Amino acid sequence: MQWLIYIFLIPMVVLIGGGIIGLYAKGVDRKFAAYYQSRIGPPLRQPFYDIGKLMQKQTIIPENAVGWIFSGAPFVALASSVILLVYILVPYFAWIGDFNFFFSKSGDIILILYLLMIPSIALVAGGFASGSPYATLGAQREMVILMSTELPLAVTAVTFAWRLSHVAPGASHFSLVTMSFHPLWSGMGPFGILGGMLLALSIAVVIPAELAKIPFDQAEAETEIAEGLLAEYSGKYLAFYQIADGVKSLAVISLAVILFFPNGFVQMTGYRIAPAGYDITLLLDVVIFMVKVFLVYFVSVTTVRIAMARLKISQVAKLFLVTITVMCLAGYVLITLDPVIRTL
Amino acid sequence: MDKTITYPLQIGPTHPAFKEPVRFSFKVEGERVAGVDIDLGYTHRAIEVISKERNFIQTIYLLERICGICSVSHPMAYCMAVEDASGIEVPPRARYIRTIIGELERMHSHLLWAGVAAHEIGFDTLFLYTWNIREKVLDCLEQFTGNRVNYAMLTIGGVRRDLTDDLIPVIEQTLEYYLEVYQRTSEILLDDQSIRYRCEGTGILTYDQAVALCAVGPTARASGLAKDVRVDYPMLAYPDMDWLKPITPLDIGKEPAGDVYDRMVVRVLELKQSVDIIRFCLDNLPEGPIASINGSIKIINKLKKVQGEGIGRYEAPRGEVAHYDILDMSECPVQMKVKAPTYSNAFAWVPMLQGSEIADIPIVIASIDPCIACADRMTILRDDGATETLNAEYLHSLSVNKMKEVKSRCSG
Amino acid sequence: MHPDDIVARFSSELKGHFTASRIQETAEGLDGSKKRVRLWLSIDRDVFHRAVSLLKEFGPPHICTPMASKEYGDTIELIYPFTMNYAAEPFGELVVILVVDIPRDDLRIRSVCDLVPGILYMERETMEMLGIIIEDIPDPRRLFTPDSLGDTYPMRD
Repeated sequence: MQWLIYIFLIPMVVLIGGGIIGLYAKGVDRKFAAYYQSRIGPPLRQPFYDIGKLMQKQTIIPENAVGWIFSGAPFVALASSVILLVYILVPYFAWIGDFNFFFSKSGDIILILYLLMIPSIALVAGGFASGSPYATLGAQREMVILMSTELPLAVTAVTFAWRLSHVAPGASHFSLVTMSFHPLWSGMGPFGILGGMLLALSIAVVIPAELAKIPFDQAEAETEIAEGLLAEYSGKYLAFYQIADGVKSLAVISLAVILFFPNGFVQMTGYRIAPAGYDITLLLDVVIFMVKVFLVYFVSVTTVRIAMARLKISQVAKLFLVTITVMCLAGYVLITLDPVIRTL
Repeated sequence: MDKTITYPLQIGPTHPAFKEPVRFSFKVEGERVAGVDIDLGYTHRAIEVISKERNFIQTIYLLERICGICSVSHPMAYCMAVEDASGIEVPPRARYIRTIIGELERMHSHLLWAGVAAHEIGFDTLFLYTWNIREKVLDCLEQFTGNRVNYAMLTIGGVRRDLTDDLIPVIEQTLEYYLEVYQRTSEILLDDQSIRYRCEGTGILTYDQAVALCAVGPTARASGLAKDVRVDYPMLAYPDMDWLKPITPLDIGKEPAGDVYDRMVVRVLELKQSVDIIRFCLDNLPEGPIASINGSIKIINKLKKVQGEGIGRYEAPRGEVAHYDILDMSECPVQMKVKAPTYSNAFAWVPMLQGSEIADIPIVIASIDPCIACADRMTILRDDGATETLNAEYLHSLSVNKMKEVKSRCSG
Repeated sequence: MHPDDIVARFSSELKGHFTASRIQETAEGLDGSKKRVRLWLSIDRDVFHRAVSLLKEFGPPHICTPMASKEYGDTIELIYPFTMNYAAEPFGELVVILVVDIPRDDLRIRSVCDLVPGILYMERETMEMLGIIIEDIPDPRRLFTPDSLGDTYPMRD
C-alpha cells in the first residue's frame, strides 16, 4: 500500500512546494527586471497577492464560450504542470539522496516532452473555447510556437539518449536519472563540449518560448491582442493559470538544470556533510539546485526579456524551425563525432 | 487552394495598444490584414463649438487642452491665426521664447513617442529608459513655465512670462544632458537588432501616397516628402536660421522607404535638431518687450473691432497643426477650424496597414504618433432614444446597482 | 511659384466665374527678409472642381485645415485652405485659400477627392457638421458624430 501513499502524497507536496517556489521565482524575476529598468518594482510576494486577489474576484464565463472546455482547461493545465514537475524533480532528488522508492525508476524524457505540451494544449483549448477573436488568434499563435519548439527539444532528447547508449550501454537510455548520472560534459573532447554548448544555447532559447516570455510571448501579447489566450479568463480560473505557469516555469528550468548541470554536492566534491551524525547533504543539494534554477532563470528568461522586443509569429517560426533546429542538429553531429575523432 | 477565408477583427475603441479611444475594423486573412476601416469620434469634446462662446483669451486655455502633449502647438497656431487676422505684431523676443517652448515640447513629445513605440513592440526596458530621460526636459519646462504640461505661456501678441537670465543656465544644462545621452539613445533606437526586425519594412507609406493623402510631419518626411512647416512657411524665429533643413532619412545616408523604422530615424534626428534650434535661440535672444499689448482686456477690446480671417500654422511634434479663424466684430471667434496632425495622417493608416501582419498593427498605428483627442474635437451629446445609445444616466444606474451588489456581498 | 501666376491662370481659364482675388504678404524674420504669403481666391461653385485641377497644375495641393464656413442671408461661404509649393524652396510655401459661395436652398458642391485624395475626411466632416452635400464623395458615412444625430448640423449658426 505504500505506493498508494506516494502516488497521492508526493504530488500534493510538489503542488504546494512547487507552487510556492515557482511564484517566488516570478517575484524575483520581476524584481530583477525592475532593477534593470530603473524601477523599484513590486515586492517579492506580489504574485501571491495577485493570486489572493484573483481568488476573491468574480469568475466570468463568456456567453458564447464552450463552458466545460473553458472551465476545465485551467485545471488540466495545473494538474499536468504538477505531474511534469513530479516526474522531473522526484527521481532526481531520489538519486541525489540515494533513496530507492517508487519514483526512483520513473522519469522518461519522452514522457516529459509530451507532458510539457499538455499545459500549452490546455491553454489553446481554453483559448479556442472562449469564443473571443483575440483568444482565437492567441491560440493559433500558441500552436505555432508549440509545434516549432518541438523539433529542437526532440533533437536534444535524442542526442542525450544516443550518448548514453554509447557511454553506459545496458542502462535505460531515455531515463532522466541515467542522464544525471552521466553528465554531458564528463569524458568529452573539445568537439563534444562544443556540441554540448550548442545544445545548451538552443535550450536557453527554447525556455522563454516554453514559458511565453518576451521575445516569445506572441500568444499573450498585451499590446497586440490584449493578453490573447487569457483575454476572457478572470477570477479563479486566471489564478489557476498563474499557479500553473509558476509550476511550469520551475519544471522547465529544472529540466534544463538536470540535463546540463546535474551534479550535486557529492558529485562535485566527493564528500558528504554530516555534522553530529545527521546527514544534511540532501538539504545542501536542494539549496544548490535552487541556486542553479534561479541562475538559469535569470540568464535565459529575465535578461532576455528585458533586452528584447517581441518578435512576430512568422519570425518565431522561422527562428525555431531553421536557426535553432540547425544549431541542435550541429550539436548532435558534433557529439556523435566526438568519440570517433578521439579514437583517431 | 487559393481560396482564403477572411474574418472580421475589431480593435478598439478601448484596447491596451491605444492610449486613446479609436476603433479599427479589420478584415483578416490568417495573420494578414486584407481590409481596414477607421472609426473616429470617441473623444469628441465639441471644442470648436465651445470656442464660439469663449472670448479670445479664454479660447487659448481651452485650446491648450485639446491635447496634453502638444499643449503649446495648438495655442501657438491659434494665436498666429488671430494675429494674422487682426494684424497684431509679435515682438522679436516673444517670437524667440515661443520657439524655445515649442522645441522643448518637441523634445519631450518625441521621447514620449519612442517610449510608446517601444512598449507596443514589447520592449519595456527601452520604454522606461526614454521616459526616464524625458523627465529632464519636463523638469526644465516646469521650472520655466510652472507646469509640466499645459504651460499657459502664450497670449495673443506675445508670451506671458519672460525668459529671465537665471533660467538660461537651466535650459543650457538640459541641452547639455541631452547631447550626452543622445549617442546612447540613438544607438538603442536605431541599431538594436530586435527593433530593426520589427520596424524595417513594416507600415510602408510611399512618397506618392504621402503626397496624395496630404500626410504631414515625421510621417511625411520618413517617406521622403521633405515637408516641414518650420522651413516652408516663415514664422517665429525660424526664418533667421538659414541652416535649418527638414530632416529625412537621407540625413543618415538612407534612402527613405517610408516604413516605421524611417519614422523612428526622423524623430531621433529631430531631437538633436531641436537642441540646435534652442541653442541658436538662446545665443541670439533679442532684447525688448515680450508682448505688444499688455493685459487681456486691452487685447479683447482691440479684437472686438476687427473683422477678418486668418490662418495660423505651426509644426507640432507630430506634424502640421493649422487653425483657421474668422473674426467678426465680436469678443469671441465667430468660427474656428482646427486641424491637428493626426487628422491628416489618420488617412495614411489605410495604405500602411493594408497587407501588414496583425502583430504589426500596434506599432504601425503608433508610428504616426497618433493623438486621437487632437483629431476629435467635436460632439453633440444628445439622447434621442436610439436603442444603441447608452446615456450617462443608464451607465450611472448600472454603476450604482453594481456597487449595491458588491456591498451586499461584502456585508452578507 | 508666384501668386500672380496663379491669379493670371485662374482669370484666363475661369473668366467670369473667377470673382475676386486678394494677396496678403507679411514680412517675417528679424531682418524682415522672408515673406509669408496668403492668397485668397473667390470662385463660383460650378467651376470649383476645375479650379482645383488648375491649382494642381502648379503642384500637388495640400489641404491645410477642414473647411471653414461663413453664413450670410441666403448663401453659405465655404473656405478651402490649401497650401502649395511645400518641400520645394525654403520659406517658399504659399497658402491658397479658395472661397466658394453656396446658395442656402441648394447646399451642394462637387467632391475633389479624385484630385486631392487626402481631403476625404474633411469632406466627410463638412457633410456632417454643415449639412452641405458633397457630390461624388467616395465614402459618404459620418466621420465624428453618431448616426443618432440626424439632421442637426453642429457648426451652423
